[in-house]
Amino acid sequence: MPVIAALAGAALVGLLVFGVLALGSNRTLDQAVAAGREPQAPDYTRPLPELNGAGTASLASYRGKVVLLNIWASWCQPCQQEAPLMESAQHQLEAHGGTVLGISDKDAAGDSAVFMRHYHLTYPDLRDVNGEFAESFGTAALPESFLLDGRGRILEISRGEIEKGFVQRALALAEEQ
Amino acid sequence: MSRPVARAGRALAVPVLAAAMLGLSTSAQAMSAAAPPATTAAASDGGAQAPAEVAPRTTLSVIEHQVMCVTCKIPLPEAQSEQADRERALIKRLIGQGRTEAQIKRTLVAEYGPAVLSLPSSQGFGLAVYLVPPMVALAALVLLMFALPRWRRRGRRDEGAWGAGRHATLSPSEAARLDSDLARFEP
Repeated sequence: MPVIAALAGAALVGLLVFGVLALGSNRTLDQAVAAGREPQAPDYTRPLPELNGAGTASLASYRGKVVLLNIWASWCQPCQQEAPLMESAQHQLEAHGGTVLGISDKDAAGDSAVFMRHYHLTYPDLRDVNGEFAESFGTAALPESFLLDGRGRILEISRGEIEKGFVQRALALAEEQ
Repeated sequence: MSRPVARAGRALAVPVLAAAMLGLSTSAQAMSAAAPPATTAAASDGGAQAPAEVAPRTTLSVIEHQVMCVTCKIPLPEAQSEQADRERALIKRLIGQGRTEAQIKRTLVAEYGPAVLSLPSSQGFGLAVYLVPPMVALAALVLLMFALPRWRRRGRRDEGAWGAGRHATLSPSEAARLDSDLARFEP
């Protein structure tokens, strides 16, 4: 009987540890980027539904392009604040063969579409309906942005609202490629 | 030595029984919540085409209690956030369009993923949520069925041994002293 009680106790502690670890955000990508390892974007080929269209696309669909990946939601106020900067970045990146790619995270399609219209956003957007894509990037709060090179490797991460410097580095990369 | 074990066994029986009852109760609740309500059985259009401006077929409260705030990860009725307000607004819109409970839940899953539902689907892996608790409860009950008689027998045996050995360990002088001490407390 003490053995069973000990096993039950160990199982409970294990469950607690798992819960704490599962709730914590994953910072593996940040560490890899900080170490200059340029990790491959997770879920690179995961198909996501397009916001404006019936089809799906994945990060792999943008292979060969510099991508400023922006994870956002329509209810998120910092996302609203950075929206004009994103659109401006899109105009500049597009001229150099790059693109901003929005990923609306657990956001109703109607709400996302209203947001895109309201801020006159012209870049493509994919819907992360269940949040798994954002989770694979370690997203804990919105907005978050990732700079990807043409091979889908992550060069820079911005957890929070992006700054102009981030966009400039994206442009410089697009110009190089 | 065996006496504390028997006591511990009896003490352990209470939480085990409680866990078994809780498991059964949780499972029953889950099954009743997962079962589609009678009013939704006729819904067959998948929620895609519902007429606008018709009589509501459910209420915000009914839906809210089955839905999570997907960003706060707490039940929607308790959530106070932008995202929760968006979800409520969508539910209200769908209710206003005369959608049934099942149609609204399907739409919510399409918009926010399966995590929007408080209880997982009763298909596939989600079925484990409904099967595991009764199985654990059943296992606990079976365990108790076997363990309780043993604990009882052991308890009785220990008490008997303790009772029989009580005087056997006293020497005649100790017994006399005990009797005289006890006599002092008698009125």
